Amino acid sequence: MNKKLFLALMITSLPLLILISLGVGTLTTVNINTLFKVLLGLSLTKSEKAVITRRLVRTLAAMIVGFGLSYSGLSLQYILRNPLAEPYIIGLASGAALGVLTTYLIGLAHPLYVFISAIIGALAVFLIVLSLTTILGFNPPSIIIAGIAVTYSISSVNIFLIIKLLSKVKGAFYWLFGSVAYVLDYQLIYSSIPVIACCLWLLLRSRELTTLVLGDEVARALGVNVSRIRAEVIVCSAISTAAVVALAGPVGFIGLAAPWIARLTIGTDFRKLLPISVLTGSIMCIAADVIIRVSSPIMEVPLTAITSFMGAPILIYLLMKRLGWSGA
Amino acid sequence: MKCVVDVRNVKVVLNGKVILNDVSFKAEPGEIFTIVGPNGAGKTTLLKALAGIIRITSGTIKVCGYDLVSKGVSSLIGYAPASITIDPWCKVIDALIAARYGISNTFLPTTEDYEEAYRVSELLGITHLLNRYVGSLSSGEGKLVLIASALVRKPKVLLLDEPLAFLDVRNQALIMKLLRNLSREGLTIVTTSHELHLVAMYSDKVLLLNKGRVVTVGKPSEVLRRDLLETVYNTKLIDVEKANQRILIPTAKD
Amino acid sequence: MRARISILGIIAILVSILIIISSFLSYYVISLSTRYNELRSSLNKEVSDIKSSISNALDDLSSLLTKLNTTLSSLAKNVTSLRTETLKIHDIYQEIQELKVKLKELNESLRERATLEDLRELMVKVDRLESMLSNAATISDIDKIRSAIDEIREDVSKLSSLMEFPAEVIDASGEVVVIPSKPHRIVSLLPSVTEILFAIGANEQVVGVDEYSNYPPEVVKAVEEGRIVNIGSGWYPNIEKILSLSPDLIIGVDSVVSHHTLKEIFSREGIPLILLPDKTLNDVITSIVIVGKATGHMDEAAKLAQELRSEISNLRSKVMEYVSTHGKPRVALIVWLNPVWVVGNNTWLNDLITLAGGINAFINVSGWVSINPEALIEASPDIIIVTHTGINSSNALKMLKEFVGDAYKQIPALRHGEVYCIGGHYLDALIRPGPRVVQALKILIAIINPEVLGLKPGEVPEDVNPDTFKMPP
Repeated sequence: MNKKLFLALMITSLPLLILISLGVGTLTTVNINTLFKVLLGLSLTKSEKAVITRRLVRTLAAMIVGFGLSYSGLSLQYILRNPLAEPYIIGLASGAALGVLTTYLIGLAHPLYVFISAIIGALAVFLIVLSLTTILGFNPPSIIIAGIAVTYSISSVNIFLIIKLLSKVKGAFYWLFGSVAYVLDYQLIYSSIPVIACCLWLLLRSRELTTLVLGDEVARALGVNVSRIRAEVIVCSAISTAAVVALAGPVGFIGLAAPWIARLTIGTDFRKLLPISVLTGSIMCIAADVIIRVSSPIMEVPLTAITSFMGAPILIYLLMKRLGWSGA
Repeated sequence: MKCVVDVRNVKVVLNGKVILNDVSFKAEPGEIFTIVGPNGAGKTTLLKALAGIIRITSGTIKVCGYDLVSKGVSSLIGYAPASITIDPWCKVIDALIAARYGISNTFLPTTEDYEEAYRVSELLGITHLLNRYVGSLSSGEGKLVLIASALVRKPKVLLLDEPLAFLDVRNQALIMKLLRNLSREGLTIVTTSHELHLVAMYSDKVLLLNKGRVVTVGKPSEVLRRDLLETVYNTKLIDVEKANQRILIPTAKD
Repeated sequence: MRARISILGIIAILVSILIIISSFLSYYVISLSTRYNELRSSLNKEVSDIKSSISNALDDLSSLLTKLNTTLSSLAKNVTSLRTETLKIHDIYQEIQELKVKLKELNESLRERATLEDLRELMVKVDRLESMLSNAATISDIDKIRSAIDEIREDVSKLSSLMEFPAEVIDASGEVVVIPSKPHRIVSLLPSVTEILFAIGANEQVVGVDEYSNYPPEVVKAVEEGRIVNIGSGWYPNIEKILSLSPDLIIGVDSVVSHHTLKEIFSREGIPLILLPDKTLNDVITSIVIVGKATGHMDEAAKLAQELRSEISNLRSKVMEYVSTHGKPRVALIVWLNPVWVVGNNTWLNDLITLAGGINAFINVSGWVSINPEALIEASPDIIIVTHTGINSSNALKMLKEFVGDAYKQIPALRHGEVYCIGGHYLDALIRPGPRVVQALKILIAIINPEVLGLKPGEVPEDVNPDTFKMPP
């Protein structure tokens, strides 16, 4: 596909998608006409204002989720040299789940506490993974193994907690699949700040990040402090993913699919890949939320149900391309 | 600027094992300096120490008069490892652009970056590979990409680990000719090699390394003597003239 | 190793970042809570101001009304000779004029939409009364006047009930929820809440219920007819759907986290959301009172609460008396048969069992627990109650015997076949913390200690369904 065409398409579809998202929902009376009223500065009825505000919070939350997950996934794929790396590989989703389930267990299940416990849980488990790497070595295969091992161990604790809490845990169960339906405005602000800050940091370091493709040794010969860059990227990914998971729960597959769509269309230069995959991720997430709201106007379906659909075709395409290598 | 690689009494200890012991030599600009020796002698470690990848335990290495740990030295050096470590899910052109780190420090790649990449790929005959994923290349093609990534920086010092490995005879001839040309332009080139039959073709000086110590340094004819080599490598070698087999090797001469 | 030190450095940096972030957050939270407290106290002050002005107006009105009452009753006494009473009627006429003026003033000072309408209606009725008086000629006319006066009295009492607003309630989160005027578009998020609303007479004010609200039957009929809208799941509610009903009051419960989130979201739109407490038996009584105050049915709610309270304490004392001489049987409550899930302590059902005079055989575990056969043998219950829907008691008995194997003889409940199944409406009453809690309690007592209710053991059928006790649905 022509690169410039793809880029233009992406950039114009984001604001368009936001507008669509604001105009679509259960209450069909609040639609494009209402949007025109807003644009023309006319006043809205109380309920119209409420609905539009709610949709705006949801849309922005979906955007931040797609934003944070896609650049986390991209950078992790870079430093771990693994095309299947994605943000939850370092234990963040299971840690956040642990934090949330614990608040339900203690009975402190208020949205603010759930939010904070998700962040603390995610980062605590991430620290466990990091300390494991000091024993196993801070290189890609060890990081992946440490991440997977810790994720599965924490997940088994989570399963135990879920079974134990079965009568109370209905709400937490829903959280485990990720949704932007119950995002509060202050949570949106608290989450956006680290997500955007870490992205800017990675943008500043992207020159060094690009050299990692040449291999640890060559990069070191070029004067890049490889372990430091790796540590910075992991920490930035962790903070951003923790913020996203605290906001909307563990939404799946965006971290894997968005970087890959960008890569297959725009090439492999990190400096170009970062903004494009971020754009792709936001668009995917907002689109998924719109699809959910349109197809299920009464029942609130979790986001992961749609985003995982988006992941499968990408992986299949990847596989097909890979199989083409042995011939090429 | 003329860049001498000045190595004095270098000792490298890794994980408690002494890899290099009291190694000293000088590689002059305009000279192709090749390090040979048995497997495990420490050739690659020595080259990595010169590139600044491995820290030396004692001794000094000076490149162009600067100490290795000082800033800016890495922009003078071009290093290519022995095996292909480039991310397979990366396009060749992007790898070449990425190797311009330190030389070109703008956020987005400049036209100069692309021009240099094209120039180097023409030199090495890999322009048809520029849009391919590194993972889809053969080992020889990958080696050429590695060498290209070292050259794209227009370095003053070229450190190539086994530059002739994986290559077919044509490409071996190409690389040998290229190295000759580059050294004539004033580059200091240090390589390692296992291809003893080719070393004499392109090198000016040879260093024989065994168990981390320098055995001898000198012209190829002085160092590559049958008695010396048989002792160091601990195996029987035959003179081509004496054998009744035809051996065809590529030539660096036009 | 250099790498190790830099990793430690990174960890140290990360920890300090965490500390900084958490101190930021706590500062923000503290400043938010102080601001919130200030807002709350100013709101309280405003509310008390309005209340005092309303009570003043009410005082004026009630004094006027007593005047009206006395004058009107003297009119009724002298009904036979109209002509002689013309002067008095003229006085009444004057006072009705004054009443009109006073009502007009009330109009202005109250500024409540609902009250305004009712006031206007009252004005219209008073006008009609006025015209009736001026046309009064016969005794039948005076009867009409009497009935008109009664109507006005009724309206005035309704008006005084409207003075109940704005109402303040303290809900389960400990916050004060202000309901500015009598709500007419109430959305209920859980079936237990719906039951409370209908039990205290607020049925006409409800516009939305969740998908599981099925009691009383009028609810189902109202949903079918479209007067009440089904908003979908009450556990994961769809915010837009609720907003589409333009609610003026939403009622949820404390234990559901999404309701807390909803409370914050709707408060930004100025729609009050009450979180009812729903953990213990007392919470049911409290919830009824809260809902009564919030919907303008304080009297009915207080009456219902009092009834429930007395019935519960009545039953409790009877049970206490009975078990002091007959002891408490061990009861196991099985909520699911495959795998076997039982109810432990710290649950609503456990409290009911204890109140019914039984000992929960699984009181040493907390919450809902899935058990293996040995645990059931060790618990050794005398009575097993099964609430797994769709299974009758003989099947349940068979399944449990298979579950435990030959050792079933060690379990008294299985040995004697004391396995009861509760289904249908009664099951709902059992698990919902709502006004049917007394029914639920009675059913449990009937099963566990039947003689308390005057039933003989064996008179209680093993399959308890809505026909069994012929209790009011």
